[in-house]
Amino acid sequence: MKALFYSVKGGQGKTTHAISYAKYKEALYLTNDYESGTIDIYQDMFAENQLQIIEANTKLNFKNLENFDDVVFDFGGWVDDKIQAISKIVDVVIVPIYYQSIADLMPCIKTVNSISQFNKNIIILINNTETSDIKELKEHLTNKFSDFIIFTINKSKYINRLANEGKTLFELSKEGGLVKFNLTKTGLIKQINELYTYLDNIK
Amino acid sequence: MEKKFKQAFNKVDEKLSKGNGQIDFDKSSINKKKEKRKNRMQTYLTDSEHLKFAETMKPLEKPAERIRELLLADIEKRLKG
Repeated sequence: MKALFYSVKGGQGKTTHAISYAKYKEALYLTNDYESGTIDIYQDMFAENQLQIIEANTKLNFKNLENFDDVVFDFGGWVDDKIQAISKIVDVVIVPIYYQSIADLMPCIKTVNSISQFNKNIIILINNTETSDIKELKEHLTNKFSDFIIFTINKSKYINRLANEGKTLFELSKEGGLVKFNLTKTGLIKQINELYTYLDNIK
Repeated sequence: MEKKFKQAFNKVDEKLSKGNGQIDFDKSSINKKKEKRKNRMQTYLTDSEHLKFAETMKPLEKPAERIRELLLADIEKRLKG
């Protein structure tokens, strides 16, 4: 299964969810983030050669990717001319939106409009958004993009644990105790499960 | 609450309908945009109109005055260079 996590705007949750999913699937993880240093934070979470950085002028050899069952592309933050080619070969494109204001909505809609020219299998992931906003936002996005599926992830402090402690929500949940209780109570584990089950069934 | 998102979506639709609704992934147009930005910056640093405007700026307080001096010195240096 090949999945692209993409949004033209940074800070929407691309890397957080792309890494979590890549770890869950033990997938090859490819990113174009060679400059910001974000990937340095996550590098230790991966097995040797599992994470690979594709620099701006590097050409992607798609034929080599056929040797991998699962590939997760984490591309974006800025426009990269490889996005077009990648979105054509992936099984699904996940566009996350961390809604704080209309300034997040505009790039999300623009991203979905643009990517839908190349791939019709799009998931909009409402990520880490205030519970009071999620229902309404989902309704409006469903009306706008009736062909695409929308998943939601409630706002939670546990999402940031990936960067701070290198632990995905699943891994945190396995530790048990109060964290597991909270993750279950807030519905976060259920939401992640629903998303991953959907992705698992694509191919 | 309903109004909040209705307004947000209307605003986005309005902006997108005026063009620039798609991301341009083409390599040559990405490079053209980069070149345009570079040219705009160079114009700003060399255009005498911009220089005149900088000269009319009144210092509000000492730190602002210092920044103004530094900016003018920088522009002058670039013009000479």
